[in-house]
Amino acid sequence: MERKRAIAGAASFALTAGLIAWPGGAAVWAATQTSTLDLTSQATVTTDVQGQYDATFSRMEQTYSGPLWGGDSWRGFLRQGGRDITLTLPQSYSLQTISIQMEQNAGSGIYYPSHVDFSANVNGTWVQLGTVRPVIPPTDKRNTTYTFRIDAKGVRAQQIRISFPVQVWVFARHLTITGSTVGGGSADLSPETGGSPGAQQPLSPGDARSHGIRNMLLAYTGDHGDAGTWSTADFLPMVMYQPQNGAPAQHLFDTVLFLPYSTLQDKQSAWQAYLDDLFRPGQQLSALDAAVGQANQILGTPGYREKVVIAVPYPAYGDGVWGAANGGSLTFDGSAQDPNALSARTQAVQWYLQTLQADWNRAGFQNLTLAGVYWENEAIDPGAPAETRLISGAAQAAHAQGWPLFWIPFYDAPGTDAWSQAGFDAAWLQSNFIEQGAAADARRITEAEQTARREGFGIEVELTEAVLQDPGMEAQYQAFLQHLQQDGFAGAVSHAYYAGSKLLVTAAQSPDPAVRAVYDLTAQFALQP
Amino acid sequence: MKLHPWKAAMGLAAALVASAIPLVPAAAAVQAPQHAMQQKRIVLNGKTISQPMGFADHGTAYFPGWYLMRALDSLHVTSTWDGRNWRITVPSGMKVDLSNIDVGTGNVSIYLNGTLVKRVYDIVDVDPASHQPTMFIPVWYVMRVFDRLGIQSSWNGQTWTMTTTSAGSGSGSGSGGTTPPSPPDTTPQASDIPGTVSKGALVADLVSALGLSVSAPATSPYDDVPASDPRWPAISTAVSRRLISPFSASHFGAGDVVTLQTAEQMVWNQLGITNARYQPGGSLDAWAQFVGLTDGTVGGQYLTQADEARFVQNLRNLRAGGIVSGGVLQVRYTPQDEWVWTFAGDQAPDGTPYYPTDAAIQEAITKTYRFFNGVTARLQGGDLIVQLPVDPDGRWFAYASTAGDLQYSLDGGSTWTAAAAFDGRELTSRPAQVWVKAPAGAPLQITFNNMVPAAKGSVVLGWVSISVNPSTSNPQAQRVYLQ
Repeated sequence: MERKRAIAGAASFALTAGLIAWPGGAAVWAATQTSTLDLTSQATVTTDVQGQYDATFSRMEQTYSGPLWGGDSWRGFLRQGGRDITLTLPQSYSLQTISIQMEQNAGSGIYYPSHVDFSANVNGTWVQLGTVRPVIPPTDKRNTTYTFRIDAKGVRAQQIRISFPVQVWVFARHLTITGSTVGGGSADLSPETGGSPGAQQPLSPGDARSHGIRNMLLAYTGDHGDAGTWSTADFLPMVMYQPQNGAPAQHLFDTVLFLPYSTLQDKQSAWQAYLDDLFRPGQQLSALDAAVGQANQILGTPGYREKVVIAVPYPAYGDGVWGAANGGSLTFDGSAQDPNALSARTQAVQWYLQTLQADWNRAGFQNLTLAGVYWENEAIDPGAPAETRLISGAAQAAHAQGWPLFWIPFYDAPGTDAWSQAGFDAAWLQSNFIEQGAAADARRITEAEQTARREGFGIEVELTEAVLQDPGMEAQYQAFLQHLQQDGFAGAVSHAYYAGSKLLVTAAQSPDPAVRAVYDLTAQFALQP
Repeated sequence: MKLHPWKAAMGLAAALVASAIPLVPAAAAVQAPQHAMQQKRIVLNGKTISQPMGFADHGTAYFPGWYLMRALDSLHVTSTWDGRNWRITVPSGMKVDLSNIDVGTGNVSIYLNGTLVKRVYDIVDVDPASHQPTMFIPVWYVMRVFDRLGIQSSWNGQTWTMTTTSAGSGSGSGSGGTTPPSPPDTTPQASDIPGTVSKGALVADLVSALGLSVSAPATSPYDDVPASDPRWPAISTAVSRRLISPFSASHFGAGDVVTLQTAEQMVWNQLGITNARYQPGGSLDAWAQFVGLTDGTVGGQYLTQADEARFVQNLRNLRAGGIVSGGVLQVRYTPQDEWVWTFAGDQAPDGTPYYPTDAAIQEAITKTYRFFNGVTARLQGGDLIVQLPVDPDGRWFAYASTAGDLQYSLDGGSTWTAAAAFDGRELTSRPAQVWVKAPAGAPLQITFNNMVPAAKGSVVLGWVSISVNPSTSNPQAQRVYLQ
């Protein structure tokens, strides 16, 4: 579907050493001293994930299972927060250098970690040897290698740890440890400190950050004809649960998130057209307003207002001339004074939000309230120029209009553990469980729950077209909802609902009991207290 | 005014260039040949294409250049003549071997696709066919140039037989025949011109300055460089590495005068450069000047000892990555083949280069050299302090990191800002330079980068590592290979 972006598999790589001397000249870095031993082959290695273990990602890693030393193929590490590579030597040595080579190939989702920490276990205490950062910017699009190297300064230890965050893929090889049997100490070393315990609670509907959102349905608009055009009849079963045998008794989704398909171009005219479509009488927002009015009449809830969240299109660097605002032309290609096009892109977002505000005020919807805006990009892309400052600027622009900025990252997306610092006011996590199809590993649900609990996310419920077409997938969807419920992730947690292009409308209106059941299952899950 | 006969073979563009350039001043024109002319034959792929009058001078056969251009016409190879330079341009599908160039000396320059590949001395005489003063070119050298086009030659004293390979590529000559005997070495001797450097001395000095390990067989094939000559190992090494060519298989030309360009070409060859468009300056001479190889040299007809000394010192400084004076390192960006070191990876996944034009390539590579050549470093209180130039255009930016955090200052060290890495794009103001400070215990790594919208990000163009030289306790710089 539109918003589920697969992570590119790593293709083939052309690799060369990081350091080469002038032809015929001496090597860049001098050879180690004669007493130095290469200890690498003596080590036994264990690798632990720093973040949430994920069985699916671990399985995918096996495709890139090269040796950490003794070969030129790569060992791939996929997401899951980061890795701790612990190396145990048969005895303690006076350590001299520790190094590991890594690759950056942005086109394949392979990035250098932002840093590599080296530490050693000295007499039972893990001490920091140092941190090394790459000199190739994360925005770089070439295929390069970089050797993270630390001078261990003769620290005597038997165990070494190399730790690094993993945003998407990290590829590593050529791990090397050198040292000697004699000498060594541990002066001037600092013990490692623990990290923050995190939020420890998922986002609840009662949490002020959720702004009252309990069940938020995603509605894609602006393209794909009827599939992207919502009528009042479409919205009615979404805002009001209509049991198959019985009268409607309650509201269903209390929030609708309107967002564009990924076909939306980075042009002012396209953004304007998206808003024009959104505010066109008789469809989209207007249709929702009418549907809520009808539901209020049926349910006897006059004055009830449906919450609306509207997406902010993602302004991507390099997308060329966008349009004009503030008296000047704006280009997303950057300029001498605005190399990242940060100012231009932020101004474009400001224009969009101001236009949205004006359109909203002009529309005068009786049954809707604009609860916030939504950041369209589902990751904080480490390779995108000035990405965190762009988000921060968008958050400020949203706040200036009086709206919070919401986010729904895909599972283990870059930036997942930093959403709050980035400027988002609340966020829901995609589990991406159903999208994996029949082979989906149920441990993913638990892993998503754990991440949500640790980072303070709400959870996104997801269904695909296969759920409506395949009894096996429908059963899997049902098991997914039951799993969430059993783990306390039903009524107590704020949810977003991804259902493709009006899949729940299709289910609600289907004469096929099996298809219709998807609507009922979803509603029953959503309406749990 | 008499026009050079070569003009007859030129296209319109060439005619525009050459129309005002006579071969010799009219007053100096001669009407009768000074050499004993004989009819020769040029055969291309089995077909006689011309029968020019030529002559032998000191054992070397000379042909009128006009006929050589006609021979190239038959292969759809265009060439132009402007009175001093013969510029040959081959069709795009035809391979050209531009490796291991040894330009040599002479008053006529021969270029292949813009690259100077040979200099020869011509002889002006009257072509009996046109009764015009005409430039005659030594065939032996032209054959070597044609080798680079995949045109194999043989010579029987009367007929020059040329054969092309099917793809227009290949190398070597003499297939099906013999090569003409090499001409005697009539190059002026350095010993006859006070203050000049001989070819043998230059080779010995540059092989040393390039840090090449030397080796040589026990016997020398050259009549002027016996194996007992202390320069023999260097000369043998230079020839085997194809840094320079001997005058002939049996004569090196050790006493010949050389030009500054010969020295430039040896360095160029050592770096394995084959495509000038990726090098700063875009041509051999401009490159040598831009990278700093010829800083302080005076130039002249022949390479002087003073210029050679400056050249060698410049080369040593470039190889060392910089010059230290008063404890301050002035970085000298070590030249390399920039196609390999800088541009080979600069392309989108579909193969589209990020720098698609010569102008874009030159802008990127000259900015890179200027940036690094503007870097200085010094040690202060256990810290490395590096001054980086700041490009007024923020799309060209420095990025620096080390082990641990670093600090940077925009006001000459009065106030410092701590950062995980220095990113020139993040500057809110753009002073002429920025200072970066980090503990000297680990190298400070610096890259120069460019924002490329087509890449949706940035492209790294160069990388230098600055550390402390343990022998001198001074800062030192080392260019690092990308990819």
